[in-house]
Amino acid sequence: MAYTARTRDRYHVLAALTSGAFAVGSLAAAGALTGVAARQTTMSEQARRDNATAQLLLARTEAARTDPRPPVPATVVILRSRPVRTVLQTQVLHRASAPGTAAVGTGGTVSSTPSSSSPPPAAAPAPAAPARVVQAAPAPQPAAPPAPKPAPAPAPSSGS
Amino acid sequence: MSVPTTGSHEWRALGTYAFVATDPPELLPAAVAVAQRVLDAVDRACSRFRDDSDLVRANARPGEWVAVDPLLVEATRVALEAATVTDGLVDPCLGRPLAAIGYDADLAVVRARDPGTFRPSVLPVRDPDAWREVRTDEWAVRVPPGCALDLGATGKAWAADLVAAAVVEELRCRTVVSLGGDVRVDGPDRFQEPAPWPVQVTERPAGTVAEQVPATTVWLSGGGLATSTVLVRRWSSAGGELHHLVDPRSGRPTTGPWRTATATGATCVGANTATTAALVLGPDAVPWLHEHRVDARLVGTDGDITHVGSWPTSRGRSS
Repeated sequence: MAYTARTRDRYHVLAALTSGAFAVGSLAAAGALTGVAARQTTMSEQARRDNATAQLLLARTEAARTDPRPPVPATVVILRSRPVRTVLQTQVLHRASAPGTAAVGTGGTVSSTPSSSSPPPAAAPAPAAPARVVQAAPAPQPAAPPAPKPAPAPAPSSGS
Repeated sequence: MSVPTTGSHEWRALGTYAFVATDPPELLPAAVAVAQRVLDAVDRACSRFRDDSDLVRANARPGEWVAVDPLLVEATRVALEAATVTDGLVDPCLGRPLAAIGYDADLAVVRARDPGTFRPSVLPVRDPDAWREVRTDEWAVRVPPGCALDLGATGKAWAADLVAAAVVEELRCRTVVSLGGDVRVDGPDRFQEPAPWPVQVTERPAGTVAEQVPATTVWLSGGGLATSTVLVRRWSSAGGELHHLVDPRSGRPTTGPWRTATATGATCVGANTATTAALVLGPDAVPWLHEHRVDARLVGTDGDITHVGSWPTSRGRSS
């Protein structure tokens, strides 16, 4: 059979078709193999996780069975729903709430008269000898003592 | 609001009256402004009757940590200390018993209800040691399951201490603060011997009803003085009259023999802890007050007055 231009074109087409078929087949085979491998890996990973979960549940069940204490709830803080406004200095808050604030007992001295329990001021020491005073002019009269401070309004302490 | 520059000033706050006086009197308007600011903050943090308060939010989530204002944290800590020193006689976990007997809203709302239709509900058995499970952190509290906080036993007195401390800190003057009868005298000279303030002790706020027991005036040089009574916060129910002072051992209102107690303390909350414990203890109050070296004045349900410790005696009997 003579090798003609037409024959040559047929071989070219046949070679192209064969190469394409091989290429498609190779890709399909590679994809299928990859899929199978991935599935096997996933199943293996799932099995591993399932096994770990089962172990953990088993351990918790065992711990709950042997430990009489109630389970400790996780600390979850519920966040405030309104903004913080600082109206007090920290030292004021701590001073009014220091340990011992609620202690009962002595303190708050109460009396039936307004006199203070503090001792009167010590008298000035007397001079060793009376000083001689020569009055050239009438001694100035001492100023009138200030009027006594009025007692403040009583604070009410009633039941409420 | 117009505040005089002399004398004292009185207004409504925390469901009762607030009274502030200063020495010198020129600082009174500034002191009243400080007091109103502090009391507003305390009310927003600690009220059981405000839906937006931190206390209501914490009570709504028992068993969980709830972030709250540091004011509520400190108020709770002080209330827990009062419970500790009285071995639970002053209990901050009485929110549910109080609601069960009808005190679940402002007193004016409670009194406006038809007493014929309200009957106290039967309270389930409560754990008297639940207060030991209350937890606090710097910015959060945790109310134990089955419990609701109520700071009524100590909150007002602590607020008086707090207002006085704030006035002294900001104005450096002496002051006397009274919140519904819980009095605190404080000043920058508290370590010296200051002149005492007069305090008028009565069973009910002035102008409400005629006093059955004569008022008495004592002089307080510093610290706290508190009066607790079962005569004022009362309301009617189908089962009879009720009052707000609950015995944590029974979950029901106290039954006597004392109706009013006044006591002193190093702080106002200390004094108030003593008066509340005395009314709860009933017949065992006098030896308890003696044991804790508390100066006190007790008024019995029959009107007889008993003085304890160094309470000044002008009339009545001393015990």
